[in-house]
Amino acid sequence: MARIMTGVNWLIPVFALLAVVPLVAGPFYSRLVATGILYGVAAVGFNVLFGYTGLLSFGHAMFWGTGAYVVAIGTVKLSLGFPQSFLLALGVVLLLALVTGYLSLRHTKIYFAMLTLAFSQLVYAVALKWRSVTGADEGIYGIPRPLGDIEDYYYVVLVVSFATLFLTWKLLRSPLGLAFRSVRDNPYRAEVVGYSVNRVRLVSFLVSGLVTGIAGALYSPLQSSINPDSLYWTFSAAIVFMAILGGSRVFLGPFIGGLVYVFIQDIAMGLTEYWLLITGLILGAVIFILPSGIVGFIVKLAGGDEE
Amino acid sequence: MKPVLIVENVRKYYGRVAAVDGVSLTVPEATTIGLIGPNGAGKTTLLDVISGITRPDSGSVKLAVEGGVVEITGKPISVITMLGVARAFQIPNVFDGLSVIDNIRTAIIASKRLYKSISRNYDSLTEVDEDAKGILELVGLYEKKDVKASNLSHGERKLLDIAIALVARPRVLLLDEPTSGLSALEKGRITSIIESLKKERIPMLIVEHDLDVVFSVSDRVIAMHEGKILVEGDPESVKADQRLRYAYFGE
Repeated sequence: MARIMTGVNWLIPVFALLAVVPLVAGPFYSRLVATGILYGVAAVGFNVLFGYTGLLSFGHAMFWGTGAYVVAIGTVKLSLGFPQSFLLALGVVLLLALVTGYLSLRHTKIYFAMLTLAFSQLVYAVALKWRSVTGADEGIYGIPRPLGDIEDYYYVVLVVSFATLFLTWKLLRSPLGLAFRSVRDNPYRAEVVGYSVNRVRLVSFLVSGLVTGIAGALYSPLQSSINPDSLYWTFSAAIVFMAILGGSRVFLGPFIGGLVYVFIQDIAMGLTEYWLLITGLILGAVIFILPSGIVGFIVKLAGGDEE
Repeated sequence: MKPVLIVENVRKYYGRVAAVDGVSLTVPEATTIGLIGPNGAGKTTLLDVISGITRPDSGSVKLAVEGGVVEITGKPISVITMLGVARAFQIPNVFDGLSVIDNIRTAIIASKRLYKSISRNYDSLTEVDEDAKGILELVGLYEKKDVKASNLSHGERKLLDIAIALVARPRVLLLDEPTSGLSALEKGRITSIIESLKKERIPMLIVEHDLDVVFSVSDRVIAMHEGKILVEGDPESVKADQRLRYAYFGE
C-alpha cells in the first residue's frame, strides 16, 4: 500500500528543503518560515487528538500560549536559561493538559469542544489579569533568543520541531497509535475489545497538548515577545484551520497546513485589514474543493491511501 | 459440567416494561446454548447485561475464572471483556477506518495490553500478526486483510465482527444474531465457524432467529418470551414444545 506523505521518509526531504531557507532568504522570511514550522507542529499536535483520536479541541491555543508564556517567564522573570525554561514549559503544559483533559473528557463531540474552549478562555483570562507575572495585555518583551540571530535560532526551531514530529509519528505508528484510531472509529467497539476508552483519550490529549506546547515554547523566543493573543480562542480556531487546510487524515497534512497558513496570513494582512475575511473564504473554498485538505488531495491524486 | 457463566435472576426494566424479567441461566464449559424467542423477548438486552453494556435493575452475572467465580455485574465493559467475555453484534460493529487486519490487530493489542509498547510499530509485532492470520483464515477473510473495513460487504463485516470477538480466546462468547442478513453461503460459513469453535470447547451463548441454525449447533436451547424463560432443554424437546409455537405464532 502506498504511503505517500504519510511515511516518515517524507520528513527527510521536507527537513532538507526547510534547512535551506535561512541560507537563501533573509531574516524576514526565516522568521516567517520558522513561524510556519511552529504553527505546523502545533497543528500536528492538535491533529493527534482530532484526526487520530476523533476529538475536536477548540482550545489548543492554551497549550501553545502556555508553552510560550512559561518560556518567557522563565527566561525574563526567573532568569533561567532557555533549556531550563523549555523543560519547565513542557512540565506546566503537561500538568495543564492533565487537568483540562481529565475534566473535558467527561464529554465528547461538541460538548468536549466547548469545554476545551472554556478552559482555554480561562487560561487567557489569567494571562490577561495576572499583571505581575504575565504583563497583562502588554505581555512580556525582550525574551532572549538562544544563539542570537533569527537565522541561527531557526535551526533550533527546525531540529526540535522535526525531532518532535518524528517522535509523534513513531507514537502514532505504535500499538498506542492504533488504539487512538480504534477509539476514533468506534469508541463503543473499542471498549468491548478491552480498551479503557477514556484512558486512551486522556493519553492522546496529553500527547496532543504536549506537542502543541513544544511548538509554543519555541515560539516566544523566536518573536522575542509574547502577548495574550497567543492564548485567545481565535488562535485555537487558526490551529483547527491549519489542520483542515493541510489534511487531517495524513500525518504531515497539518504541518504543511501550518506552513501554508503563515503565508496566507502574511499575504492577506498585506492586502487588507480584513485579512480574517480572506482566510475565512480560503477555508470555505478548501472544504468545498479539497475536503481532504491540500496534502490529502495530493495523496489521492497520486493514487495513495490516507493514513 | 462446570458452569462458566452464571446469570442469576436478572431483571431489567425500561420504564414499566420488563425487558428481562427474572432470568437465570448458566453456560457450562464447552457448551453451546442457543437463545431464541420472538422480537422483544429480551434476548439482546440479556446479552447487553452480561457484557456490561446495560446495568441490570437486579440480579447478578458471574464468571468462572482461574481460582474462583467473580461477579461481573456493573463492572465497566472493558473490564468484563478483559475477564474473558467476548461479544459479536447483530449489526456489525467494526472499526470502519481501519483495514481488516488492523481491526484484528487492535483487538489483539487491547486483549494483550500491548498498547504500552510504544517503541514498536503496531504492524511489526510478529506474535500479533501470527494470531491475526490464524483468526482471519478461520473466518475466511485473510485474502481481504488489506481492505478497509468500510469497503466490505455486510456478510464480510459480520465475519470480521465475529473475528474481533475471537481474538481474546474468550472464556465465553456471546453471539448476537450471527447469521442475520446473510446469504445462504455466508450462513454456511458462520455455521462452520461455530462448529470449529465448539471443537475448541469455547462456551457460547448464541442469540439467533434462524431456528435451523440454532437447533443444529446448540447443545441446549432456551426460548424466551416477554422477558422470561419459556422453555429450556435439549434441541429436540424444545423444538417439540407447543409453548414455543404459541410464543412465535400466538396459536
